[in-house]
Amino acid sequence: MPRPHNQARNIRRAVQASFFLFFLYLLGRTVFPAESPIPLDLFLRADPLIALSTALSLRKVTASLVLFALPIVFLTLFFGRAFCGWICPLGAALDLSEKIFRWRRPRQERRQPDRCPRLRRLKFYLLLGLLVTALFIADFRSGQGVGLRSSLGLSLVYLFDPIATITRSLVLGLVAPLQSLLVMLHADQGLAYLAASNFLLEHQSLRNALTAFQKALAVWVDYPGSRPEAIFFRFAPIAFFIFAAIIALSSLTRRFWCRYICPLGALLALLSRWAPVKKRVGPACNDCGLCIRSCRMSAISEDPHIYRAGECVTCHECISICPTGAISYLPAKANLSAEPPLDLSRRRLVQAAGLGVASLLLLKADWGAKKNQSGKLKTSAAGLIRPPGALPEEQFVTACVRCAECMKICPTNGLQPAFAEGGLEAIATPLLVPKMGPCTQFCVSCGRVCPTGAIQPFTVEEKSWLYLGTAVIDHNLCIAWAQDKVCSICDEACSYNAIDQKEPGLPTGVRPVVNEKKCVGCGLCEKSCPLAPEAAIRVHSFGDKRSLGRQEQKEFFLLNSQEKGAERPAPLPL
Amino acid sequence: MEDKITRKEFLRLAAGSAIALGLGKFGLGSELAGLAEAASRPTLVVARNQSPAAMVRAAIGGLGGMKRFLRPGGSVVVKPNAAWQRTPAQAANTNPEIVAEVVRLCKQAGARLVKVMDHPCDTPAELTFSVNGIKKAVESAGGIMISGASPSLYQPIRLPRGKALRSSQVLKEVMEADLFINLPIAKVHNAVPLTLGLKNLMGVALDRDPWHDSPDLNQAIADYATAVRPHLTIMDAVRVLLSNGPKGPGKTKDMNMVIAGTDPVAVDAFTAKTVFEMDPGYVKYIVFANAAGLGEMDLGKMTVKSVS
Repeated sequence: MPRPHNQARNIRRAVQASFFLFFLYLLGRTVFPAESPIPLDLFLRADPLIALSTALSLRKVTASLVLFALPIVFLTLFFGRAFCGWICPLGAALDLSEKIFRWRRPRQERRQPDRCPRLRRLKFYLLLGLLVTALFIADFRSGQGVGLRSSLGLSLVYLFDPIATITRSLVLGLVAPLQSLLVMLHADQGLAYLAASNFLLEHQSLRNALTAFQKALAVWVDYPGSRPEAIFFRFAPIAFFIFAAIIALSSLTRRFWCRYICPLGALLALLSRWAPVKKRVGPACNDCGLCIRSCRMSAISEDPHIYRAGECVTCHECISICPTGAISYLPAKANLSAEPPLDLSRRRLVQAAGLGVASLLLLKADWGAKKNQSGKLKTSAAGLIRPPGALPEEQFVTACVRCAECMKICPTNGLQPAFAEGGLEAIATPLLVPKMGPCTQFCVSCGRVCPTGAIQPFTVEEKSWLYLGTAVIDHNLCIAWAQDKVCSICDEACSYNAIDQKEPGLPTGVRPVVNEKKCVGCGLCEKSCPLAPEAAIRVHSFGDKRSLGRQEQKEFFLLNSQEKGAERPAPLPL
Repeated sequence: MEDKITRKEFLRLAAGSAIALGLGKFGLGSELAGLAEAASRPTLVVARNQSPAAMVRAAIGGLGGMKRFLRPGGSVVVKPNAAWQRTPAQAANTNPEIVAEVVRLCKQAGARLVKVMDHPCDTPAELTFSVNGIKKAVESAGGIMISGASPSLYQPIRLPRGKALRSSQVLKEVMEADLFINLPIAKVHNAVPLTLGLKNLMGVALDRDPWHDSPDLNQAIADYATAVRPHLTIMDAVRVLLSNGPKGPGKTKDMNMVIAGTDPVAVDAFTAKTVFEMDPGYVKYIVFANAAGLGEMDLGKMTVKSVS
């Protein structure tokens, strides 16, 4: 049977595939040094739900946060939930997985298109719950009293936002295993050895081809002999299985996530109510019902003339499958059949709001929310070293959508998702693990890729006064202190001259001492310390001065960085 | 220039040859020339007060030119100090212009491949080599920059003469190269007063932690040098670091000198005295290396040629 109406659907497929590849490309490009004309976190910035939730909870609307999100809002206002069918990478992943796994349509769906129509409302309740949590008063900006103006909400959007979820899942659950695969390929006698071999070095074109191949694997490979370091992410298996579970839900019902759970889908569904471009079923319709069965969102009711525009993701599948070509897109006219009402239960809405408030209260009752006496630091934060440029903690936990972009781009693999270090409210937020990787001085990448500004951009110069923590030497472990050995690797590694020598000049008196005023807690010392697995010098989170703000931190540094006495002079000759 | 050989020197030469033949088992037969040189009165060439590249050319020229060390078609490994994420002005790494000129001279002498290698202390290596400008300099001169970060590039090495360290690793390329050039920068160091050429060799070992854990780091440096012998040491003393070494940031001083020689101990001892006004006996690894017969540290027993 001729299908002349495939064109629109094929265009949608091409565009959807392109956006998905573009998303993967940007993710792959998120490697140090993060220099890209296109923001690498573009999809996250363009997400209206993230923008809305973050702006509400921080009580702050900034251009960088909101401007990028406007295009999708306007797109939805005109064309309905086109984002979900054409742009959303999680939607594309779900559609792709349905094709790959060929989920058998559950038998019920053939007769009754929508298995669980009332479950659709869940995403709206979820959306309300999230917005209420963001609006409610969860905390106060440190040092600014407890007035309304200094209040903060709590954004839990990271749990259910599709873009944050797929980014996090791919970074934590896929990048590290793939990188391990590359490392195995580069093992002894593998690619790195080959790349450094004389044969390849003499044949420029072959070497260029190999380097291009390595580069295409999104590994920062600059020259032969280099190999991708294995990277490790905490909870990689958990992130992978959560993502797999989301995909697997589609085996129950097509686009399960999009129908029942996605709060961004709910938001866009609400916005699409006024869309002028709607689907119209013309008089050629012969009631065959093919469109009803082919709809991946089961948006078409038993009467094929009636559909829920808020559920339709404009995939054009119905247009393509209609044997008479009765379906088309035209600006909505008065003769369009009435759409079934949204029918959200008021009781459930109140319950959703209540649940939002309850979640907030519960999270804030977790020990992780308790502040110390000055109100500036959390008492639970013993192992919590945040990335440089991070907002003060109470703002950080609500601004961070746990997208893991910073973790991906950190060139030393030092940024890892938190577990219990900051309490439940900080789960999966980034923290620095110096023994995994220090915060190397000349890198400013994490500040460049944070979509919500939880990590504010900063410069290399500013790193000298962005205090993350303080290094402390355990004199019982340090081989210079405890065993009189000649070792001051921590002093060598320190980029900020924050380690002095006690009794310099004596051959056996080389003993490192930390200067707390200059130590920013970057962890270079901890990483280079030869002791393992626990270094003799470790970064503790005291000394974190985020609540002071940038200017005050800079003043603190300038005031305290004057070298006391002369700089350590070269030893006198005998 | 060369004195009549004394009985003492002859015995040293004989002993040196015997040791060299013994070490030849470990593929170090080509070090015979170095040992013989070390046993006799070593020659150093000092170039002053020109551009870095011109000083390198003058210093190598004073030793007889690169062709004295390299036959056409040979392979070269250059080991600069490229360990730290510091800019060239901060004088924590070898001056990139000097590295480039050494590469150029090797290529002009007919080297088939000039590989510049280091296992940097600051990670990731890619960032380190870009901040210190050495990768760019090497490639502009037609050399190849290789990071020693991958364990697959190393082989184990025994140090039978070691007193503090009995084994370590070494880059395979270093042992297989026809010409191995050590290209350090002269700096003060918080632990071992000065870091010069012998200490720069730490950069061709994979795991340095056992060195620090050994009874004496200075002895370990000398032990390693018994088995890993550069044919040529070129000391970058153009801009040196005078405080907070080896990484800085600290006080730098423009000394505008390049020192070249085949005796690594002599080059280090001369640099200690001339650049830092420090008695070489104060730098323990120089003393230990001298005691192991790796070279001459007594400034009165070496010939110093000045070229301008």
